[in-house]
Amino acid sequence: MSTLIQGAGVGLRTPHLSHLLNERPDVPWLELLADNWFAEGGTDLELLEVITELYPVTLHGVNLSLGTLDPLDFDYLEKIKKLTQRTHTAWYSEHCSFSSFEGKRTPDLLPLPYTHEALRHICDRIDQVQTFLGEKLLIENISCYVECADNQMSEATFIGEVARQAGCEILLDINNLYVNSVNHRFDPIDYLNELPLSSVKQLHLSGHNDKGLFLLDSHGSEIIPAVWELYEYLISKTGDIPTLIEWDHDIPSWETLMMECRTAQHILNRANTTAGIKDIA
Amino acid sequence: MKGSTPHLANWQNNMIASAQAKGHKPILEDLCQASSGLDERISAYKNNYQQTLINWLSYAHPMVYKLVGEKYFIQLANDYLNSHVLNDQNFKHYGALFSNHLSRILVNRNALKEIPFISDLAKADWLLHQSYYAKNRAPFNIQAFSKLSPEQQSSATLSLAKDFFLIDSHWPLLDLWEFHREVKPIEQVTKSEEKLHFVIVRQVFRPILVKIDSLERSFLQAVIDRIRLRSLSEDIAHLPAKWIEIGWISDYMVR
Repeated sequence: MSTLIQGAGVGLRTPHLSHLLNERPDVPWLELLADNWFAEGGTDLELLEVITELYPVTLHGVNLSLGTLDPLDFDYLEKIKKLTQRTHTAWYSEHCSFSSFEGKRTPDLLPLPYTHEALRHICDRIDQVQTFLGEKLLIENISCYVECADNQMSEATFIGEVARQAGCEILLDINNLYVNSVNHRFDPIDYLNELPLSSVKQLHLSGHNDKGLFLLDSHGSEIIPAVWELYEYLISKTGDIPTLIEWDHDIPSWETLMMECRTAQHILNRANTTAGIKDIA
Repeated sequence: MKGSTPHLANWQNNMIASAQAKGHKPILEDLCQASSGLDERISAYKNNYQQTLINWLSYAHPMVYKLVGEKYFIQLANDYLNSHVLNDQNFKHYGALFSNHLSRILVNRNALKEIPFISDLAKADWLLHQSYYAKNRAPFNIQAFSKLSPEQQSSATLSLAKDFFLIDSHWPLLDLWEFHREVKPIEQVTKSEEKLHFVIVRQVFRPILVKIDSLERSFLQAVIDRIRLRSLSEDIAHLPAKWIEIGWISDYMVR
């Protein structure tokens, strides 16, 4: 199995499993939700073996609660480590967020305050995780609906500093960036210009819902034109970055998912062609 | 609070409390930047918490869900959420006590009095789920066992396969399970005087529910109690070989 991750892939979800295994569609790579593949036996383990034989994969986690003040859960990390070995994943990504405090949890990704205290804390945690796993982590920006009144820096500065100080890489979710720019009234282009783009190793694209007073990150609809425009702007600056279509609710047909994938691939191809022309010139 | 340096602990405590709907809302409001619809924004976290856990409970309890219907299931799940805070790293472990919870509230709910077997059904749901994800069995090492001395063999204790679970119930769980799978209709659910015994095991990747008799139940108890092979009563002494053959017994330990 190759771990070459290039072009526009998709996040694998259960409703598409049988299509994937029976039809073996042409998709360059898959992202697996790590937390769904911890089973140590039964069907899932067998399926995982087949999937990783057929496609290059990356692992994406949602339950590490990286930013919490609670102790790091090394039992969980051990499962991640086992899974990275089992799947030969190209990389493992998690979120710049927290989900627990003093043992109480939420199955959601909560924003950290963008303060020096939080920055020091999450960098220390990433360092521990990277040491344990023996590889670089990709950290994703989350969407959020509230922000701390006492933030000491912007989200872009925070994420950039996390990458710089912890020596990790970035999974930039373009939809999350757009959602936050509307919810917290900032210019997403300024955000992109502030971010150390050379650290961005993967992109996420997905849909959201307009709740009137704010945008809700739902991963349950098509990617809107404004997000595509932001994506195109970024790709024009960086060139090809592996891009993933995420769709978690009201999951559509494989064909609909592929349409989004093809749009992303088209944008990536165009950027590559332009880069080629520039090189020749 | 605004303008002072926020402590990460204070922020995390209030965010989690708000998501779990047990927060002091005014405190979180004080910690957040003013923005339009702040109440609704904070509620988005609460809704995500509730919706994700309710969806999970319904997924992990398909028989109960089908029995009571979506509307009433959501009520039951909300009750459970109110009395059981999520405190496990993996939310997919949430719901282990749903059956106990149903058993506790059974006496006070008229709607549930008509389906008194709901708690046992929830237990079967949960264990079917656990069995599905359980670790694969390693085949019983007959060769190694046969090399033990007769004394060692007779002092050995047995271990059950990881996908093997036991349920004792006064209700015909096998009939209810088959009804759920539309294998056969069910006319009437009658409570048995004696306890009935069922096991859940995984068979070619799929967990199944199997009824066992009282003799097999005695043997199972002996295995759970780590009774040595030589101490098994005569009437169940033939069962180890049978259960090893079908894979329900997966290991032994010489003590």
